[in-house]
Amino acid sequence: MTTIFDMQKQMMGELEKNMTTWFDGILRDPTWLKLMSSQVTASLDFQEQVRKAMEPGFRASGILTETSQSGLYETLSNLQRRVMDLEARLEEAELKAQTPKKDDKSRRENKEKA
Amino acid sequence: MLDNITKASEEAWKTPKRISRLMELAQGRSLPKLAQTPHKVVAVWGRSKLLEFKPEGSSESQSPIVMIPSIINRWYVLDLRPGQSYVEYLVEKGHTVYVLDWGTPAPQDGFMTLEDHVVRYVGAAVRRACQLSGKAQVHLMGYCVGGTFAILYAALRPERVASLIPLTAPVNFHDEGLLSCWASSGQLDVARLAEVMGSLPPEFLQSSFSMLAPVAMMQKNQTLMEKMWDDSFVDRFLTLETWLNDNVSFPGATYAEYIHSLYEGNKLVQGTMTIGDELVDLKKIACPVLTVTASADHIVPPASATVLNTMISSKDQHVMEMKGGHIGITVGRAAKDGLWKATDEWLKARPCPNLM
Repeated sequence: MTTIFDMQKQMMGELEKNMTTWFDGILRDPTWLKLMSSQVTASLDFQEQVRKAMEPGFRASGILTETSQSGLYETLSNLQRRVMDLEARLEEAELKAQTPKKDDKSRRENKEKA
Repeated sequence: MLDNITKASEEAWKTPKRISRLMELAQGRSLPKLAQTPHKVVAVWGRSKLLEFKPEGSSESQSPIVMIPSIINRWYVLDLRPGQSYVEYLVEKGHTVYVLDWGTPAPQDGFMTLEDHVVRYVGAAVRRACQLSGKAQVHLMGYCVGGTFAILYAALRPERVASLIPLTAPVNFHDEGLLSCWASSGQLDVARLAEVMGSLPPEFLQSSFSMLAPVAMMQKNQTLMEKMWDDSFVDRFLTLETWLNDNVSFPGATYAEYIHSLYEGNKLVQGTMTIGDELVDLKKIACPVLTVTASADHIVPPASATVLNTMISSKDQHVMEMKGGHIGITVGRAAKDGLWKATDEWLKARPCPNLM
């Protein structure tokens, strides 16, 4: 007895056999890649144009523009970086002080052996 | 004849179950609870957190495992649900596990660079795990992009790494895969993409991953319909789908650097990779290394990961190819007796040194 699922499975198997190479060919095609990248570029251009068009209005009404927001976010990321660097220095100094030196370890092992 | 009767009676029993499960799904069947292994947050840095999973009642200092998940996926793929959790298994086996939860990037995280993520975030997780466990070094494990970050960290700061386990982590980015073909084509102005978008939305990346195996997407739904009668299959399927559809954005500055240096320039293999002002020298990795690959991985083909072992100076180094796909080896039915068991045994044989 053949169920509908057996038939579907068989169909999918055939599809995989025949379509995978076909899809792979298309997805590796430089023309397709160019088309995709031009679509992304067009979308980025549109986003930038909208941003530029809205900025004077935002500025006039005292709303933070995206350019100023971007500066603010960059400052925040710099702050985060500095805090983490300070923490890292402190933590590393503490850990270094507690880490047994290789010489200490071998001296201790020799002593134990003796 | 008898076979046909058996099959027909099985189908007669499965079909009403399928219909009733389908109705439940349509009405929003409750999802299995995710990330259930008890843990606590032991550190917070910006958007990221360090989660600590400790074996119950253990007083003895355990060698800590620091897990670095992929930066574009949620960490809980490592702790999907009870019985289907790599972290739960390792904790049951007596390991203390720390997982770096990258969190959801805020707008300021778009400016965070590869150096920030590798040296600062991974570094902070490693140091905190050392402090909390009383060990001078940790076992560093990284999954996918997180694995590449772990490798970069181990090369730059080898002093705190007792052993390194990259799980399906790309090193050679110029491979046969489609991702490599697209990302190394240089068609996309990634710097501009990062500048305009801040962080790369998950939909952008997810659609690329879906295109890697278009027929598999159809097969997945067909299998679900067929196995709809099986509660445990449906639970497993829904759990994984929830995780697969719960991705985070890729911080823009890091994405641009990742694509430009690794995919376009393949700098890690060329030996010209720099993080900040430091040159990444893979030869500085001298600790024990266990490189794990997945035989049917279409995201990171095995050869892209195993090249690491030819570039490091570790004497104690191994490659382990698990049967399955990129995600299957970590969460699939065979994971318990495969990856989980093998890594537990490998780690236990290599304890971390104590602090004084």
